[in-house]
Amino acid sequence: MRHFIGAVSAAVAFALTGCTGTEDSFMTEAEALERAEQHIADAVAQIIPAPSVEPRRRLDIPCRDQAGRDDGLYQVERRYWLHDLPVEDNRQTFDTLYAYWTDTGYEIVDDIRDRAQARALTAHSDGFTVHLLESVEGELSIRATSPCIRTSESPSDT
Amino acid sequence: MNTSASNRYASIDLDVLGQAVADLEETLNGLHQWLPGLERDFAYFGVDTASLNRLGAAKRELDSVVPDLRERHRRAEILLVHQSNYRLHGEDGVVHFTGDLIDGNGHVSHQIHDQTSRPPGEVNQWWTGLGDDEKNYLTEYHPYLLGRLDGVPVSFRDQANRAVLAHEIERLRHELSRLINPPGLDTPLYFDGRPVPPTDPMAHLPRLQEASRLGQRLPGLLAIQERLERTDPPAYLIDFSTQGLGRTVISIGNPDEADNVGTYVPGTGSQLDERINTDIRRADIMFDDAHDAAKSSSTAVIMWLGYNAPQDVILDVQNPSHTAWSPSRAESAAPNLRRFQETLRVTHIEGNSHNTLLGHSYGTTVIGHAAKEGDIHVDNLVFIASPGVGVNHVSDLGVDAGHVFATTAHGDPILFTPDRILGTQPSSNRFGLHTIDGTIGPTYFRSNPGGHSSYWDNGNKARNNFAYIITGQYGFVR
Amino acid sequence: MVPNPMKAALEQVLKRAQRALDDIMDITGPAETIGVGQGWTGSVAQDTYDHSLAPAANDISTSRTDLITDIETSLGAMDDLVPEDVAELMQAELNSR
Repeated sequence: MRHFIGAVSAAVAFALTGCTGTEDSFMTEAEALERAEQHIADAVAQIIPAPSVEPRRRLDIPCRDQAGRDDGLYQVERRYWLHDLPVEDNRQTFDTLYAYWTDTGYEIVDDIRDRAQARALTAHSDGFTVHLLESVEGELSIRATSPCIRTSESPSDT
Repeated sequence: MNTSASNRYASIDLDVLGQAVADLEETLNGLHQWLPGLERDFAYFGVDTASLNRLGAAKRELDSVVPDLRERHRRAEILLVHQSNYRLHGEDGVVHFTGDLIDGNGHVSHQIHDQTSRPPGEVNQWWTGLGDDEKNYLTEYHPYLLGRLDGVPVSFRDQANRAVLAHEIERLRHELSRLINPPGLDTPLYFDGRPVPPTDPMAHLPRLQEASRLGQRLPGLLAIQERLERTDPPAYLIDFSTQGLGRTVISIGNPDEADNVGTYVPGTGSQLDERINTDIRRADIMFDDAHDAAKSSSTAVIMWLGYNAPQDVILDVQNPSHTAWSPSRAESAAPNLRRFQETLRVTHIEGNSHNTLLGHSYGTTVIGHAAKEGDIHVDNLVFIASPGVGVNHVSDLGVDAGHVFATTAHGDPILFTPDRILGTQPSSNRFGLHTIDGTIGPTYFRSNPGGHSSYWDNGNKARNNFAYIITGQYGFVR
Repeated sequence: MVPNPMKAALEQVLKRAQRALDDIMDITGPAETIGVGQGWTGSVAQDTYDHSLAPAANDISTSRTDLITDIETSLGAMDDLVPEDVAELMQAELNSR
């Protein structure tokens, strides 16, 4: 039901290609979710005492191409609150995960541990991103996202 | 549509009442014509006048009530035109209304038409003076007007717009199948009521262009409807239109009640089509992020696509005045954005919320033009990947410089925009923002570089900073 | 003895009253479309019916028959024949009306 006729205006094209780097056209949505969950489970397993995890609603992240236009792909996301952790142990939790990720080959992308509140830590591995965030009130949450893939939300002509 | 048995409003069936009034008028005319003569005759001949007196009493009663019935019928006819205009109500020739159409102050169904030309503050005052029954009535029977009336609380606009949305979806479906009706060789096509011979392909062009346009608007409407159906958190449809590239203003959370309100203005490539859900998604992401950052205060995040965004990042050679690099779209959008922010202030309950405007790409240009030419009614401006905001220095924006923020990632090609075209880029040193060093001031904060230049990526410090700014936690912006 | 001119004149009034009733139709039906019916519903409509239209309709429908009866009663009280000189006086009186 789209594009009965060619575009009415011709556009001058830059040499713009689609996604680069963190796109994976072969990964399925189910695989992406499973692997994101695994990254989180692996990280949470390092935290002692073990926190209880509360799942958050899933908000997959729309991807953009080099020109900043939506390309119809999404980064699949899993997100959890971490409960039952004393606030005064948060610094230790961050350090624990920093060490774990560094030791297991993750690339530390962002490290905001050097303040007393609202710390953050971001790590990459194999196209996946894991992010540990401390709210201003001291609650911890953890998020993992996949590379950009087609999901059930992608438009039909992606 | 309610049947009159269950409808709590008054109603007039125009055919039935019209006939009844005509019959009453006929009898009344007869009484006027014959009674004087009969009264003289009865008196002369000494006939008992008891029944004649009763006829006289009936005449006086009808004299007082029939003209008002005629006037009510006349007003109901006008109301039928309004209510059936969009074919939401009135197709059965019955109009519904609160109270009495003969109302000293003018019935609310007429008052609402007067409101459309008034500023939001006055509209809000008028609305506050209405009774609950009248508010519910206007929402149900005048949703097309109410849904876009600035000054009416968001929850009522949302209710009205949801009804209009469902109706527009059906209307577009019918319109599309009418336009796409595949021609048989012997079947003449019609456009605007005129037959078009099948041998003239260029004559189909307007029809097919319109079909193409509607074919993009309809999935956009469906995407909005899908988000509205989810309630955790609830979304509010504040405004929308299917004209041109479409207009969509949708809020995650209720801005009239929230402590913090962020308005996100998307940029290049945004329109009301099936990809509108990516812009809505960013509002949802910022909503959750804000609540992560500050659980104890409430936040609403609005996606405001209330303007015609340039659709190509690149030069549009057919319409050079409408290129992405031209300020003209931002200039025409600016008053609408200012009015929208003013409206948010008007309808917010109990004092002011903490309001932030965030723009992406050309959305920042719209914000900049809106800010420099008048009162923008917000506490913070955030420019994300801006090609220029219409001024060359932050002090020309007319907003407290300590509350202007900008970020552009390394690797984002927007950095290559020449200053001359849309103004000095906020990321430039010349613009007057300071990079983050922990002090409050006009602020340029870094984003994570990356192949996507996506400021809402997981873990991108920009994304966390948006949440801190929206919730007023400026000290945590890095 | 000749026919009573007064009675003849009153019989003309009876005929006029019958023609009047052709133009003064019963309004019970139209009145009932208001309040009780679908022409106009709601509490204001109901009040209008109860306090104005129903009483007027009742007055009209009862008076339609009573009107004729009242005239016929008066006619019945008149003599059919009167003396000629009385008839002349009556006629002169009728002519000067």
